Amino acid sequence: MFGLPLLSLIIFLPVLGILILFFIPKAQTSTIRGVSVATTLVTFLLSLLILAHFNTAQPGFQLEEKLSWIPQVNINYHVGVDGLSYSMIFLTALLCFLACFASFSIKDRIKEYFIFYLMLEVGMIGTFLALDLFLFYVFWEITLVPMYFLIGIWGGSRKEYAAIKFFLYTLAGSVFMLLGILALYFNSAPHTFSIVELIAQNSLFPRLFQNIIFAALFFGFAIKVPVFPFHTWLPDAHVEAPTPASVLLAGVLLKMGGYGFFRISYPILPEAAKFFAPAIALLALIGIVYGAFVAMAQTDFKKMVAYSSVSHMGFVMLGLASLNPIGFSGAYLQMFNHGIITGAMFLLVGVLYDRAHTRDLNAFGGLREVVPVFSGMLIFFSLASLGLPGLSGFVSEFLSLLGGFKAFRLFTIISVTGIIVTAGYILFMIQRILLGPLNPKWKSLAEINTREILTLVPLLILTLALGVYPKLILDILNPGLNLILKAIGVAN
Amino acid sequence: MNVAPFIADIKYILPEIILTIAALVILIFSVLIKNKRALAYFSLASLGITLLYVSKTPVITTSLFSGMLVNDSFAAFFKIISIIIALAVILISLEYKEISPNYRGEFYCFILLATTAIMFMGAASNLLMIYLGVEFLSLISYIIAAYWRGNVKSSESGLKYFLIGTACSITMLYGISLLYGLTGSLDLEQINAILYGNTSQPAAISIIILTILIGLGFKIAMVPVHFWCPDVYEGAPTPVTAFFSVGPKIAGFAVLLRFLLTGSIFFYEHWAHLLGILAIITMVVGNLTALSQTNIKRLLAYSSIAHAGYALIGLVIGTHIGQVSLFVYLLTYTVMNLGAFAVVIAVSNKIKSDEIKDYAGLSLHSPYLAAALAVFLLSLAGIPPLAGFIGKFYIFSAAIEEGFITLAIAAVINSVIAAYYYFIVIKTMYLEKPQAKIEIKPAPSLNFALIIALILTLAIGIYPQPILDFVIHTSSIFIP
Repeated sequence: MFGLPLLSLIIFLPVLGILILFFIPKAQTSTIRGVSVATTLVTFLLSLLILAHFNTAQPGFQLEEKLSWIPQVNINYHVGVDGLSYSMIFLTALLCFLACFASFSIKDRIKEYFIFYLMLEVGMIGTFLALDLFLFYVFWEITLVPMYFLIGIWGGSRKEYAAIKFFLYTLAGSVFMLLGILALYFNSAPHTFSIVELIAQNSLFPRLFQNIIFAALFFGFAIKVPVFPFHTWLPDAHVEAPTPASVLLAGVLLKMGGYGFFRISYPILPEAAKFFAPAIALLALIGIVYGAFVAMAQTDFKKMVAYSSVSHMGFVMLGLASLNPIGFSGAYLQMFNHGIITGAMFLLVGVLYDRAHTRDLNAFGGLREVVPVFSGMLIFFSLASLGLPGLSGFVSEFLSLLGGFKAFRLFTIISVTGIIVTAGYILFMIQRILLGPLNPKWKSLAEINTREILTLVPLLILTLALGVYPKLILDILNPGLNLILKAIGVAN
Repeated sequence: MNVAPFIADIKYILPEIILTIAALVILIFSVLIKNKRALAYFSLASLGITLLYVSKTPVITTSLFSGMLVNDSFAAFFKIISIIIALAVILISLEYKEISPNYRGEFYCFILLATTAIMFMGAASNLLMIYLGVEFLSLISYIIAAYWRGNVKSSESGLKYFLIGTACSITMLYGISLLYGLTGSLDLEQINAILYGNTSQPAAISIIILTILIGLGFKIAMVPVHFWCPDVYEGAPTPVTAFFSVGPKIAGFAVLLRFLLTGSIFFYEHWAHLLGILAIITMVVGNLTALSQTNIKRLLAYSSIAHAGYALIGLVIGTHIGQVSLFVYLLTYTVMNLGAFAVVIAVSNKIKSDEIKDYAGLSLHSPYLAAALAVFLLSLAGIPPLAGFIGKFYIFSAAIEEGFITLAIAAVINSVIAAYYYFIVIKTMYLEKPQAKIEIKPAPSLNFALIIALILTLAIGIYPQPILDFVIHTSSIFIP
């Protein structure tokens, strides 16, 4: 439209918001909130505008923008969107907008909070749109700093520990990723950081080289996903983070890892992807089952949801490792769905915690009598999370398993037990919070308010819509996924 | 003897002459006038003129004073950096409370002289000249380290610096004498020509290189000759510490580069392995010791040791790319480290403390200062899009390109360790509650230096192209 650089606009619009926030006195809290909501709203509207200009049937990148950035080493500011990145920026823009309302419960140092919040949005959207590995790395790292502060300043009782653990873990992963990126650059001819050009050259890389680079990138991406055994930062970070940060952490930041596999590791290093597939499938299986069992053992509501993320993200890795169209669709869809459903779960945890000031599952009981609307919401998203047919989580887990079954029969069969355990811990959670006799302590617990309901409704609609008619999003994803499969050399 | 060429060569060292005269003028007037601020402005002006002169003069590689000095773009690069450092140090020292106003005049004089020394070191192409430059800089450093009169730590710092420094430079002198005995020359080019292809004295060459590494390693705070660094940094007045953390370090790197890459490039295998191991040890020792520091000046001291380790990688690589990466690294390091010290001075002016715990809650009452320090520390940690990341990126990419994988891996692991202690300071500023309400309004001169450093840190990080052009241009002529 009018030749506007839409992608740059959506990346840097939050920067404009930050600049405005700088000039607002910190006492004017409602103005600060207003500016932040407006910024995230406009960003979200821009994501819709991009969809309007996006041809879903056309494979490859669209709306590309390319500017020379550091010509000495052939680094370009190169952004572009395809179905894979579009679904992620839509998710990011939506969750950022919704979590902005959840941020109203932050009462302390509001100006700083929203500055970091918007900075985080810049990094996340940029990561999904970058087509130059240097640019990708820069945006990737930009997300670390604001998240450190969001957890560290506004988090729970062990916030300092959780924040630095999150930071160091992800930094450790990403510096190895940086070395991998550099090695790719120096082994390409002509030297390039361009993802597109590197994919075109992927047959030139010898097998051993591919395996080494894959391993280096794996550190960066797997820690982010997180793949077992790199997940230990996640429960700490999630539990201590304030609700909106948890939402974005689970909803978007984890997806950056999965996105990295889809966008970079797999198409650029196809031989290594095949070589490591069994190992990744094994880690995925462990993640699914182990995550589910650990979730079951939790008494902290938030920690339970955090471990459920480990389990759910395991399906992403299983679908990835399957290296077939069905598994890939399932894996990518699972990323999207997990963002929506777990985002909603964390919002619900936040709603409950804001009122009860505890997350101890055993402290509740019988809440369905006091807060029926909240209970309804919780049951809806819990069922989506456990994979009830008709809701979106079912579709993606089913596709992942189907794809996985083709490739790794035994692993997939064992993975299915994870679903049973998931059903177990979710229902156990519902039982402890909503059912049974009412704990008299919560007799006057306030019902979920309109603002909170409104933030959940869009997620609810999406969950239902994608559960009933997943083609909506699969049509956007499949051209991109097919291109990746073709680059790997396993297209049907 | 024909003196005409000597007189003709004088115009090439005009900047050094201007600074020396300015220093002497300051010395005289500091006795005569009460308002020392005027002297500061005078020194700033003379530095400004020199900077203008150096950057405007086109560089044609010429040998000066019978091969004592050389006028090339390499020398020009270090001249420009050293002048900028001096400008920054004087700006941030203007309001520094711990140096009594009565002694400030001499302080400016010494900074100008130290700058002259660094400029000579960058241009020296004769071992005698190198030694004189090193000694000149050292003597001034000993004095300004102990400049905080009546403070025990400062005096101790000066003495310690003096004792260790002397031992190191004597060692280097011994190596120079050996080299002279071996070749009969002190001129780097001639030594080069004589030793070219001559492998008959490997032991002697190794000893020579070792002694030079000790002498210059002392200046850049390389392990194992680093242990003066934390005590001197802590004891010296903070503007002096700021100067030490960059000035002598870049001077040391300048001479090391010149010596190793022209004087003994043919003995690459004699020193590259050793220096590579020293680089790793320097990073590890610097970073691990920094983890437990409670004083910000000591923390920055150990961090500067670690940074010397990263920079050494560029030297070990040895090729043109390695040299470019080293230049980029030194530039970015200078900017962000001076910025960090500017904040430290602003804080210590107000609360009279350099303890990290006293930075608690700084972000609440002085959000701008806290944010600035956070940016400098993140940059030192190598987080994009800040200048420090560009420096690290260049070092890592040079190492990967030339196949120094071990060094690259050691460096990235170290940069993760380093992030931890930088975050200790950030955590204290942002996550902890303040003990008292400290509202800090830095003096205008300090503020000015701070803002410039902040802008540069961001600008180099976001758009590094001009800086890279500058570095690639200045370094392209030097290495074959």
